[in-house]
Formats: sequence, structure tokens, C-alpha cells
Amino acid sequence: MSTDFKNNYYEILEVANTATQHEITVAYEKAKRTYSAQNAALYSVFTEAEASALRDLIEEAYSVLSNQNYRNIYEKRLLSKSYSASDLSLDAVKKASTELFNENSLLQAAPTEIAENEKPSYEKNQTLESEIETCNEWDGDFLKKVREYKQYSLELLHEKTKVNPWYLSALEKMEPQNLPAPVFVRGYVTQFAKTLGLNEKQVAESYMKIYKSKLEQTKTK
Amino acid sequence: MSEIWCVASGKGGVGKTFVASGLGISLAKLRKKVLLVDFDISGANLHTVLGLKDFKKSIVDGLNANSNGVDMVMRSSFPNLDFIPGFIVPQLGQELCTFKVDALLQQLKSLKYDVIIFDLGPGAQKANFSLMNYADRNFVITNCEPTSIEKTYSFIEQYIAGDYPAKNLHILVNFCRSQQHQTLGKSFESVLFKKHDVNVRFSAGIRFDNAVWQSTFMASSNLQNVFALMPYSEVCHDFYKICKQLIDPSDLRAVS
Repeated sequence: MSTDFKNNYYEILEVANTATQHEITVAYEKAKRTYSAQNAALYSVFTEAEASALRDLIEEAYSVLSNQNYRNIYEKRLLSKSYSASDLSLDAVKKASTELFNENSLLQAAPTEIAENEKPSYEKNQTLESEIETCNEWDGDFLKKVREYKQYSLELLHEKTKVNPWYLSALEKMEPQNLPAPVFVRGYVTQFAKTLGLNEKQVAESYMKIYKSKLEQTKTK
Repeated sequence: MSEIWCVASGKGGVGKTFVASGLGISLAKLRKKVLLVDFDISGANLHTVLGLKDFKKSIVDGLNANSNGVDMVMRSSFPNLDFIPGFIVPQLGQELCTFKVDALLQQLKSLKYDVIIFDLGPGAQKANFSLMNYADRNFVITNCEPTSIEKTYSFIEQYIAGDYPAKNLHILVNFCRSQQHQTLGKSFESVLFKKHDVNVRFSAGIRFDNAVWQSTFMASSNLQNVFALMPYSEVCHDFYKICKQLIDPSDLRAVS
């Protein structure tokens, strides 16, 4: 019997696939009334079991089409035609939506999983260690080099320093147009260096010297 | 070019003849030239609903081809509305000969009416289906009881099974006593679409109205239609509403 019914959710609710949310709600209310057990028009055509199966289908169709996220996924699958009927069910669409949400979400980085004092492990590199030791010209490129050497991602550094990752990357590229006033930049660099286990005073001093000359250059341009 | 409307039903006594007269009178009042034809060969009584009697010729003469269209036409008491009476014809049986119907329809179409309405007999019979095949609109009348609903579905199923184009089906639900009955037509549309892939073009409800019953109190010498007696009743309003929706908007005129 179920193959006799139109399998497409749009056809179940008898709306066009261009229908607005309001039209879908109106169609749903109408379909619910039409296939309610009290409706005389079903007599001799649909048995009570068939009508009840139809009612379930109508509910399912409305659950998908009334939610813009579900509807987008459903529509994409419907148009591509490479999905089987089971991929087009409410549960499959719900699952796909959850997966999509997890992919897009920053929560995937799971900040709570990293304990406060935990540091990412890295392999010691003697030449680089000594380079860090002797460096007295701290610019963005070198900060980036050290960060990558110590296995910190921008997100992780953001979690530790509470500085926006966008500012952190601007800090490394030394882009004054993307950064706030120098007094804040100094604060960021201090946090940056402290987290990486560097001598923050020395790093900030030397970074700000280079940064300020860059700032002068952009101003005169 | 005249349009042909057929009024049919799966079950007798659901108000076919009354609906045919109602549609005819409403269209006439909306200033269309209308011809009502009684094709109910099992029991013609459209003349009674219109309050007419003493007719000389009937549709049988047209079918026997011994009369041309103009002779059969009677004037009714409503302006713009003409009428061809039917007759009980046992010798014709249930089969209408196709070639005779063809010739008759040609004659009727030449009479320059805007709309020609056929009042058919009840039931899923070949004679009815072949006439419906000529029509531009087919009205299937039903009421709200299970017996009538069941017969309406079986009527439509048999009509589709006979390879007739089902694109012109209209459903009118007569004797509506509640809001739920009024929307029954829409339910029919949905059920027929889901079950048989049939697109019903139009559906509407006609309310139950005591005015119709009261209009039958008249002495038989002075029979009057409800449209003449109580033109502002609910049932008349429903017919106007239906006709207004079916007329091309550019041809729509005020009720006279």
C-alpha cells in the first residue's frame, strides 16, 4: 500500500516545492483534517489502518518541511536523485542535520577537554631551542615559527590566551590595520609569549619596537 | 462557442436536478444565455423543479432526428434561461446512440447559448459517461452520507476506468449542514489525488437550506423555484458563488 502513496514529502502535503513556510503549514493543517478519523470522505477508499499510516506520513512530511535546515538537506537529496528512499526519511535527514551542525560548529574543538595546565607535547629541536635562547629580534614570523614548533594551533592558543584568533593571526602577520591600539597589542603579545613559555617581557619589548616602526610606515603611506 | 456542463451523480436523490436548475438559474441571473437539457431518460423531472408543464416536444424528438433544435426549446419563467424537456423513454433503453447524440449536440451548439447544462440520470451508466465525454465541465453531485460518498467514489472510479479524460471533474457537496461538510469537497480532491492520481478541478459545498423545503409547499398549480420565491436565501447565495468562480472574470456581471 505504501508504494501507492506519493513518497515525496511535497506530494504528501500536496504543495509545490517552491511553497513558502506559511503555505506548508496551511497544507499540513488541511491534510491533517482530511485524513482525521472523523472525516466521512475517507469512507470506502481508505481503511482506518491506511488512514493512520497516511497521518503518520503527513506528520513526518511536516516535521521535515517545516524546519528550514531539514528542508534544505531533504531538497538537496531529492534533487540529486542519488539517494535511496531510506536516505530521504525523517530520521536520515535529522541525522545528516546533526552531523552538519557538528562539522560547522567550533564546539568540535572541544575546549573543555583540555585541562587548564595541559600543554601539547612537542619534539625538542636543539638548533631551534638555541635560536630562541639567543633571539633578540622578535617579529611575527618568528613568533609563528615558535608557536608551530611548540604544536600550538591558533584555536588552542585562543583558548589559553582568550585573545580572538583573528587578532592572533594578525599579530603573526604584523598587520596594524587589523589590530587595535598598540597598548592592547602589547598585552596580546605578552599573553602570546607567556603561553609559549618565553620570556614575555623581552619578547614584548622587541616585538613592539618592530611593530611601531611598521605602524609608522603604514601611516606615512 | 457554447460550453457544455454535465450534472451527474453516483447515487440517486442527492439533488442532481436541483443543482442543475440552480446552476442554470444563477448563470442566467449573471446574464449568461443558458439552455437546460433534461437528459435523465430514467425519470425526467427538471420541468417540475422549474415549475413548467404542458410541453409538446422533448429531447426524444431531437434524438429521433424528427425535430430540429429550435422546436424543442421552451422559454422558462427566468429571463435568459431556456429549457428542453426530457421524457421517460422505455424504448430507448439505457443506450444513447452515439451518432444521434453527435447530431443533436451539433444542433444545440448552433443555437448560440453561452452555457448548455445537461441534467443526467443517476448511476455509472455508459449513456451518462458518453455524454460527460462531450462536456467542458462535469459536476459530480454528492451529499455527506456514507452511502452517497461510497457511490460517488465508485462512479468516479468507473469513469476513469472507461478511459474518459478525468480532467474536467468538479465535485459539489449538497446538503451541507456543518462547516466540516463544506470542506468535504477539498477532502475528496485530496483522496482522489492520492488514490487515483485524479486532479479534481473544482469543488464546493451547497448548504442545506429550509428555503428549498418551504418552496415545495406551493400548490401544484403554482409551483415556484426557490430562486423565484426566496432569491436571498443561503442556498441561492451558494449557487451564485459557485458560478462566479467558474465564469471567466472578464465576463463577470452583476446579478440581475
